[in-house]
Amino acid sequence: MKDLISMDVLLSSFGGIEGGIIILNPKGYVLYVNEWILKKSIIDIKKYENKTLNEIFENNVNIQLLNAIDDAINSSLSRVISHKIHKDILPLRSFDSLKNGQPLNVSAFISPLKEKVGILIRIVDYSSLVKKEKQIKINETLLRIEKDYFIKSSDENIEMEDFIENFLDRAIKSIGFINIDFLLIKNDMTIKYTKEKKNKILIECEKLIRNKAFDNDILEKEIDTLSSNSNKKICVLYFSDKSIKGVLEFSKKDESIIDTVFEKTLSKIKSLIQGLIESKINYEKLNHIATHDNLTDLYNRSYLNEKFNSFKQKHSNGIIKNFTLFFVDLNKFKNLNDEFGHRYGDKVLIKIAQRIKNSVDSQNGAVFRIGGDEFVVMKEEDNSQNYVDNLKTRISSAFLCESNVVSITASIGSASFPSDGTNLDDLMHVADEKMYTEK
Amino acid sequence: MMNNFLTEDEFDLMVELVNIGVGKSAASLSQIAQEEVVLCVPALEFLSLDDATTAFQERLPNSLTGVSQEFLGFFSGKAALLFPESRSLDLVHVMLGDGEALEIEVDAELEEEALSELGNILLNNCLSTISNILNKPLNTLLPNTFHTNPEQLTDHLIFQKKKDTIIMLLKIDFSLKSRDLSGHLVFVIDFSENGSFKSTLDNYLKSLEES
Repeated sequence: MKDLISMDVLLSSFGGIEGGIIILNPKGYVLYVNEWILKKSIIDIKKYENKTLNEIFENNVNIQLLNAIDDAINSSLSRVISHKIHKDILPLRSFDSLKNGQPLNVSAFISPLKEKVGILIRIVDYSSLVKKEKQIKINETLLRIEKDYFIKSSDENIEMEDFIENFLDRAIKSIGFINIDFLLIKNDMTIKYTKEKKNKILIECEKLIRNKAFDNDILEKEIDTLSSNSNKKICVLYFSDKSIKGVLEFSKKDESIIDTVFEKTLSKIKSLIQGLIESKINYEKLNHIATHDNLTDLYNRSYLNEKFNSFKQKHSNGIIKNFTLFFVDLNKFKNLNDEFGHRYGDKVLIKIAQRIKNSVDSQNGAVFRIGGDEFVVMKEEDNSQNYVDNLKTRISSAFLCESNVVSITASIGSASFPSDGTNLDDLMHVADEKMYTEK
Repeated sequence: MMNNFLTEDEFDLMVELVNIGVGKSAASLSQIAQEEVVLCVPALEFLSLDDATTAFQERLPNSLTGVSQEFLGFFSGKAALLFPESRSLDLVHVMLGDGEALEIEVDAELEEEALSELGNILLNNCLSTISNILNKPLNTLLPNTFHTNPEQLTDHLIFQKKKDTIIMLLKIDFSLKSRDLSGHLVFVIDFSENGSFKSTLDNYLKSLEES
């Protein structure tokens, strides 16, 4: 055969194909076996020339392949042997993932060469191609989720909890073969996403995070110990906001899933979740900065309009009957600033702001700092003298600031929607005037 | 119609040969399915190219999946096993049992590979039976799966249209695992090739008479 077709020429045409090539002479004895076969064979092949395939593989060749070779020798018939139909066509295994490799199910194509010069057997590992394709599909799905949820992360109306639940649901549904449990911990909140009612590992992780005072090294070690005792994969997520930590727990839905696919997929999901939550945290921060007063952490003036519209909406939807705007101005605050300086004045403002904030229930009211010592309270109720008196008392009760006793009073004017006006400017004007009259 | 191509004896011989081939195929498929597969050929006919084109349009469903295989030797051409597209993978599913298949979409291509093996077994058995009994060598090449419609089927099967090209068309019924499926077998035979196909049949018939 070597005289008829040069081996180099013959093999050059298979250069691009990953897989096995076996060439037999017209009588069925092996002439050539490529590296791929030698590497993947379970049986250590030392010498193969002039042996039959069954001799080389120590009688572990599938009968269909042997029959097909006979048909090729005797009748010049070509044959496909699909891995979908036949298992263990040849004793091969993959060495990619585990030390010993997983058995490889391959397809074989047997074709007699022209002029009966020999028989070519091509061995193709479709399962690795399918794995690659599946990985590509998974990546595409994750990219789509990433795109959709990066957009959603900027939506301030979606709470972090709903955001996380929603995208984890979608990730689990679209990936299919992985279970994901998740925990997000901030100082005062815990978001837990798990299908098990009592997920022991997550409960343990929560304890650890809360107890270890966010010491990363200790935390990693302890969590490693936790995961080493189970078949679950656990990783900790860190964010730019050091007070927030996440714990991800992955498990296979089906043990037959190949480790490399599992590992690759979960490292992708991990970075996706990390990225999305980081983005959500940043948007929440940005949103907070945009709507809050830097000094007092009350809402700022620019948020007043938005809040007014949402109250108005509630009114037109019939959820509330009316609401009132209280204009609060501190009396003689300027004197305090002049006497003790601005830093001192700021401290007083923070204290007073806290008192005004405590006077309303955040469910049905909001407090704004709209200027130096001017505040606005918006509340879901009719103009109430009781509230005004209560607020005045709260503000004016004496407190200590840098060892000075401070007592400051406030003038308050109010205006109600819709009786005093139906737009923000009108209401502000009425409340402002009433406040000045009082002063 | 067949008289244009074959004598009655020749025609009967072909029917006989194809039936033996199909019988062998059934045995091979039964081995794979690990259950009895029954195949039968209720109709066989020889058609001219024009008649075949009409017959395809009249008898075959609108979209087809097929496994085709070229053969070369004392008669050459292309053989194909055809199924309605919607049912093409049924054979694979029934043969393998439903648990095996139906993973995710990418597997469809691999199921087609399995289908091409099933077609390969059938076509090889028919062709090799003809070759062995008539004692004339015949090569087959590797099978391909394809998708087409009845109008374009002849273009797909015939590389070069000649006046002497004839089509052997068989209906084939599969009955396996209490499910039935039917397909068609098409053999495109270049009749003009030195007249060797017809003469081989004749010689065989003569040898029967002599013995």
